[in-house]
Amino acid sequence: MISNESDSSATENLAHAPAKGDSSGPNYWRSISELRGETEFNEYLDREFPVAASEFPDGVSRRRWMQLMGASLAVAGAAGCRYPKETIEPFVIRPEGRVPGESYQRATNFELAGRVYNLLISCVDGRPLKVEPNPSHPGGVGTDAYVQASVLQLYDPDRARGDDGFLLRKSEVKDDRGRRFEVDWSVFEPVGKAVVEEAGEGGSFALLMSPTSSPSLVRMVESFKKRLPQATVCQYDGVTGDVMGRATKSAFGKQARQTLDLAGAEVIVALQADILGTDRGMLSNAVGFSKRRDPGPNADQMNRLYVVEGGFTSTGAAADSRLALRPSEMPKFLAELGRRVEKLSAGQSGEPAEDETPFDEISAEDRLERFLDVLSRDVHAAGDKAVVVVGDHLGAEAIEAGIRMNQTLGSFGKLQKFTPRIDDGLSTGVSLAELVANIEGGDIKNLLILGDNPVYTAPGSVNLAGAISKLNQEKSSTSVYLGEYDDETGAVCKWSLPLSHQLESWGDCVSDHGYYGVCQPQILPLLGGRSAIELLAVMLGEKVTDGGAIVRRTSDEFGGSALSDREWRELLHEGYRDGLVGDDSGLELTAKQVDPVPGVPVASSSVDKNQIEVIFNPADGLYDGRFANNGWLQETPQALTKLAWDNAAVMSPATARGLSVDGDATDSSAGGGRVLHHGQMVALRIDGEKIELPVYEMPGCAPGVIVVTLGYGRERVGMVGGDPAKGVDVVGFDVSAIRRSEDVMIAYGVEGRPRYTDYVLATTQDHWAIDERGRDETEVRSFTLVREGTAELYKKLPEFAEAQGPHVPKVGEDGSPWVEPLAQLRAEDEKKGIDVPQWGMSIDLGKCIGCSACVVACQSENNVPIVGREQVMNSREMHWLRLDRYFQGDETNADIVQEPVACMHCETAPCEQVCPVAATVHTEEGINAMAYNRCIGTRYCANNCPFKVRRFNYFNYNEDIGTGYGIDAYPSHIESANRKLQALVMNPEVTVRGRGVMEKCTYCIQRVEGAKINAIKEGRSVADGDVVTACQSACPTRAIEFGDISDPKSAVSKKQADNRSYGMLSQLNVKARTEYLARVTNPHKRLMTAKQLSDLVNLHLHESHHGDHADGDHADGDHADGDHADGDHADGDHKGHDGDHDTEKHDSGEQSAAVKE
Amino acid sequence: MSLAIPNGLDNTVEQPGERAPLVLGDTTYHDITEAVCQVAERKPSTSWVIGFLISFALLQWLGICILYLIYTGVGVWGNRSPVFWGWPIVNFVFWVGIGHAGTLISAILFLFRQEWRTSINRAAEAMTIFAVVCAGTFPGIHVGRAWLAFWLAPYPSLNLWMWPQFRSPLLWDVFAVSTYGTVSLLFWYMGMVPDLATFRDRSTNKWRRMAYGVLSLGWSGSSRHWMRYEKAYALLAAFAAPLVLSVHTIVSFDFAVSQVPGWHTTIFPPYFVAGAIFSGFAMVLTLMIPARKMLGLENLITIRHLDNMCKIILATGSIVGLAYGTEFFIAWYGQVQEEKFAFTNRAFGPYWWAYWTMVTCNVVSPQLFWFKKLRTTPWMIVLVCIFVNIGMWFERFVIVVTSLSRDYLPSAWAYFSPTWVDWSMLIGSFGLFFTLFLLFCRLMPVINMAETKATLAKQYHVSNHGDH
Repeated sequence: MISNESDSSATENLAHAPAKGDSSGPNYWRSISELRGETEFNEYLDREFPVAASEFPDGVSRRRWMQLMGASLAVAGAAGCRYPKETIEPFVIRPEGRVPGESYQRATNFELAGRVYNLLISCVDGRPLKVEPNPSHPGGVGTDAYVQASVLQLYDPDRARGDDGFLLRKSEVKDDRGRRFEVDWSVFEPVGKAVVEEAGEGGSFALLMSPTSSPSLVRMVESFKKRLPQATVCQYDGVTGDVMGRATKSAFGKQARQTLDLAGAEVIVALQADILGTDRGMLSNAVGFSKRRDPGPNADQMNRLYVVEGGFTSTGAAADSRLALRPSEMPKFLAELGRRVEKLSAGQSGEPAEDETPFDEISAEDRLERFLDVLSRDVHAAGDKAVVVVGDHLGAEAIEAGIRMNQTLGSFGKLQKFTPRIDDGLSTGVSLAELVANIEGGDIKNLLILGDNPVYTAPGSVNLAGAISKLNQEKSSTSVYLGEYDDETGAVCKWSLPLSHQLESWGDCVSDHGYYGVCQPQILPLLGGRSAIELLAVMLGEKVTDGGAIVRRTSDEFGGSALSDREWRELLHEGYRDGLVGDDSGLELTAKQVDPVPGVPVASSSVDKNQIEVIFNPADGLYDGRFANNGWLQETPQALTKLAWDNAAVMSPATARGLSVDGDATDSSAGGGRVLHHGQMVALRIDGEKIELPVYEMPGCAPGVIVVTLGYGRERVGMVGGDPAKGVDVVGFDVSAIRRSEDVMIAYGVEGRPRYTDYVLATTQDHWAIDERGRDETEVRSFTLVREGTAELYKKLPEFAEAQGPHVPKVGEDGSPWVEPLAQLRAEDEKKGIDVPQWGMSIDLGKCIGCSACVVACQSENNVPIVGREQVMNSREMHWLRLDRYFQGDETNADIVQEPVACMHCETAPCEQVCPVAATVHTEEGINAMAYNRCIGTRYCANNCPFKVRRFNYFNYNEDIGTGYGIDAYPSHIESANRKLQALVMNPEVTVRGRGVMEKCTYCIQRVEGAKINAIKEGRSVADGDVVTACQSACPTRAIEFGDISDPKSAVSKKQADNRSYGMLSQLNVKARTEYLARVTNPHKRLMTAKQLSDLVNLHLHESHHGDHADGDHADGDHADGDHADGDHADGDHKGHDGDHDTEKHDSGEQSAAVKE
Repeated sequence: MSLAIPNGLDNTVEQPGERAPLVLGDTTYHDITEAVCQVAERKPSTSWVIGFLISFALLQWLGICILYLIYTGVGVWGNRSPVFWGWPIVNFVFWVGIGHAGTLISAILFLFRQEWRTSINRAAEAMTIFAVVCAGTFPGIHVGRAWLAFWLAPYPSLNLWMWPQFRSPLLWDVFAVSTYGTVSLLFWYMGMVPDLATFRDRSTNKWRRMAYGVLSLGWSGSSRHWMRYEKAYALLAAFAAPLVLSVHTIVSFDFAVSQVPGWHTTIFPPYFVAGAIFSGFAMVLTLMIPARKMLGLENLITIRHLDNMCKIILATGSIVGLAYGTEFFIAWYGQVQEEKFAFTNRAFGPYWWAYWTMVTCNVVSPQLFWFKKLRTTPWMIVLVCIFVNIGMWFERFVIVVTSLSRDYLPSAWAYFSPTWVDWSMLIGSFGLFFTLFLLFCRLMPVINMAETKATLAKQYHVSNHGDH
């Protein structure tokens, strides 16, 4: 097994087993072969597995296919994927420190979806099962949904397969006539070598790759360039088009990575920048941002986030003040902001205006003006504590303008830092469009593509697929694709080679902050893939082709000298090297004079259907489509739309109306007088290219702006993400057709036309298009469910959360007339002197940014199945932890609040008392436990759960979904993505639930028990922090705290004792163990909404706390009359009040006078 | 000597000092025996055969659906979060409600000495049993793991070493419905013993004689037999009477004990009982009116019987209507946000159509029975009763589905829609019910001959001697 302690032997173990020339299997198969008879067995294998797909082409029933895949896995698993082959024999003597079945963690680092992660991987018996952040890494702690779901991708049977003996599908190659057949790596190797050898200077050779943070890959590409000096190296980023690279090149002369120190910022301005959502730096941004979102003792320390954006992003939802503005106006906005700050510095601006109307009740024009005014004053006041972040959507020039503004403010280099890119200068400066032109011009004969499916991600204006097909027609040409899947790019290339997963390959990376870390494999390549560095080494004919050796050599170069074995082991063990390998010292802003954009931004509320601005965002789950076959990510509801298995044209209701008016006379399908609404199709056209996708009405988007997400509509992914050739429906809609190569993240001047055809969107929560009565009620309730106050309010009334809730009278000592069973238990324990921990959780809504990392982490930890699009539409998703999202306000100035909801572990749990078979019961530690074996599935518990956190297994979601279910829908749906190979991802410590039983959050009871066992072994009681739940560990902002609430010193007790802490639906007297910390936002008073302002004036604690006597006192108006001469009675009374409610209602002058008396 | 009242006399008119006759026509004791026995002894009529074939086909379909359900999973229904209980529970409550009329007629009306019950009680009791069979089917197959449904029963299990959880209303249901089913069955069967003996005695066929012989438990008609029979019958009636009230009370606890807004109301027990009697009587009438025509029993099941039952429907229907109003009043008066919304949402939310169907059928349509003309016109009665049955099904739908679909957290709200399996099982349950009922008509004495003859005797006695 691989471990940090073993080095060279591990390296050898991990080296690919030499390709087997003979057809007989490894030794350990012999008995089975003999059992079945050699020939028959081999025939059976040949027939059934390697050609499963080709043998059952279009008409193959899904279940049949699944059976095949399942069976193939059962064999493949045993054939040595999980163990290095050399050690497959059972241990006669157990190696020291290795306990079968016990999980262990290894450090690793990798780059995924444009983010660098520093991780610990939990493995059991050689299977990587769970991703955790590396808590000791100096670059910040946290994970996101992408990386949490990466373990599922590892076990995806649809990934491209290679040479792992005779059992698996071989890599594919097309012959001259376009037929595909399967060969071995050993067939490709000489071809790959020959291509490089015969390329001469390499003038006709092109390498297409993504920007990378891996020094080893950079080193290999450098040696490639050395070998073929004339070769073209094109770096293409499918999501951003590498705008940041262009901007930094222009600003510093070098490509650099941006890092933000949000912990140091007082005022943050995000201009179409999703710094807490899909941006590359999201993880460290989230960590930094959340550090100053705790009002604590001094609410003045809080930062203030201003967001100006066209659509609605997670960052917008987290903002203190948000302005919806068309992206086309934003360069002007930035320039205008600069001018105003300058004016303020020069002392030329007058006093701020007095506002009479709340921010949400004024017109869009006034809103823009007031926003700019307040913002410029705030930015000016904060000076170098203010940072302006310009998003990639706005283009390189705007980003550079933002950098220069930060320089003026003084925050450049402090709050906004840049580190040089490790792959700076790697590209030969050819853009994808130019590369395609070169290929079409016949200049390129050999093309090597390293991953990331550029054929799919290429904008519509660039026909990469066509170019490669043209290239393929030439007999002497070669096109090679190394990809995780045999995807759209693999389909057009002559060679489609399997790329190994980050969890099964050696690699390294430099984080944006500049920390070097090694990526070590946790398992041998399951499906015979190889990493990019290994492929390059093979093609270049290097002596060392083993990934581990390549990485170690890079590491030596980085360290300046060769690492000793001990140092190397240490590096692997820690996962990172202390000290930065790159800092911003070499980066100086060029003294270029940039003219600011002239003009003043205009907030237009009209919608011109021919001038729509379309924003392209990476999908919350799928990124650029690379996770399309990852069921967890497909089913993770997108942050704000709550769409799963679907993407849509997200627009404000005003835009939808604007698209439908004045039906185009030439467009017969556009009806007159009809209004386009939620769930109907809309067509978007630019330059003759057209896409159609459904409308999602989202309040708060700027009028005339449509947000679409990338990554959907893929046609060659797998059994989850869609593969029409195999009868699997495409998921969502591909939007790349209307992307332009000059500006891949935004398109201006798009024509929008209504289609009015209905489409059912799969959402996990009711959307804006709910009936009006329901929508109003939702909004009313949202204020008590998700409690929120401004910093101003918090200063005035720290108990505002209590005041916002419904009034819950206290009855009896414990809040109820009877002795609670749990209180009784506790009293008994106390008598006996037993210290039983009482588990509880606290979720800080002020810190939660709704990133869904917890949702996927929970899914990964607790074997939560996915259910597929059709079941999501039936509200049967299984997530134990969900993020509730509510809209507040009207459609033009909407606010979004979010709240993670999992089982509250109520002490007086409504679910427990209605279960007829006692399948859900309380543990003495206060956990509401599920006895799955006892559950017969009456579902009464779920009905009676006010939080609706219970999930029912309507089918056997973990295996084959209901036999014969939805007969017509069957072959084309994704219900059963939890296939057999993916069964390897299951956490062995958690029961896999079968059909017909209820399940729900258990507070990760397996982790609780694990911590208790450890504590018992060490002869101590469980300490605070011993138990970290999966959601808590995954959370980048540390919004979740878990621990023993009976210990007043525990972190969770302190949080629950905070005056922001409240229980959801506490009026039901369920005594929830999970409590929320009310969110405190920090908007400027002039930008407060009517609700925020009225809370500030009207909110007070519930009267009944005073008792009757006190009420009378207030009502009598004693204080106002100045009638204090009543003597001791009145006086004592007031004192009593003040002790209880210091902030409440007693701020009038008379009152304080009275008290002083 | 003719003992009976001539044909064509309107027995719905109350004559001062005279009891209205309950048996019409020139009916003699022998006529009654003939009228009832011929139903079972004649060759089945074409309409019976057609009806039976249809019902039996539907029953088969129900069976297939149940197999499919158990084989595939309860996901074949439309149930979803948050509507975890859908049509199966709606159907369960509906059928339990239907099952209330029989025992009410036979036990409570017996104890109150309502003679007019005699010619209808047998069929009504049979309907009770069959409705309970239909009702009992649903909770059993409704659970996620139907093969373990027996865990609901309090049997001493050595493997589990535990009892069921006695605080759960679902467990109370098990006791309530099974007790009710058992007592109703006993009551029904016991009441049939003298008549089964008549069947036995009239049998011309060996197998029939043997079968009825066993069923009639050696009944010889001796005074001792009669004495014991009447005592036992009265005892069982006394025992069954409170069950009429308890069963639906306890079924209503399934809802009332929970804390779902729209379920958590103390009005449920009386409201459910009234609704159950309401729907039960409607179902009895729906069946009895065509049956009395087809089986030629118009002289035994007279317009007066129908008239009386319509009055009960009118009374209970009005109680139900009052309950609907009270619910709204309390929701407003209580000022609980969620409850207020639950009720406005019922009437004006996405399920408004179900609510107003319910109100129209249950509150408006029985008010037609204020008119005597309508109470005495059989086809009109059938029409109203069908409406009542539809309305009562919708009442359960409104309670179960509408309340669940929008409870506390708006984030969890969803709209329920049934699948073809839901539909099939609802229709299939009628197949089960009618199959059993049609078999009963063919094989068992559909009218309590012994008691009807007693009525006839009294009728003769009263009409000849005036106010004695």
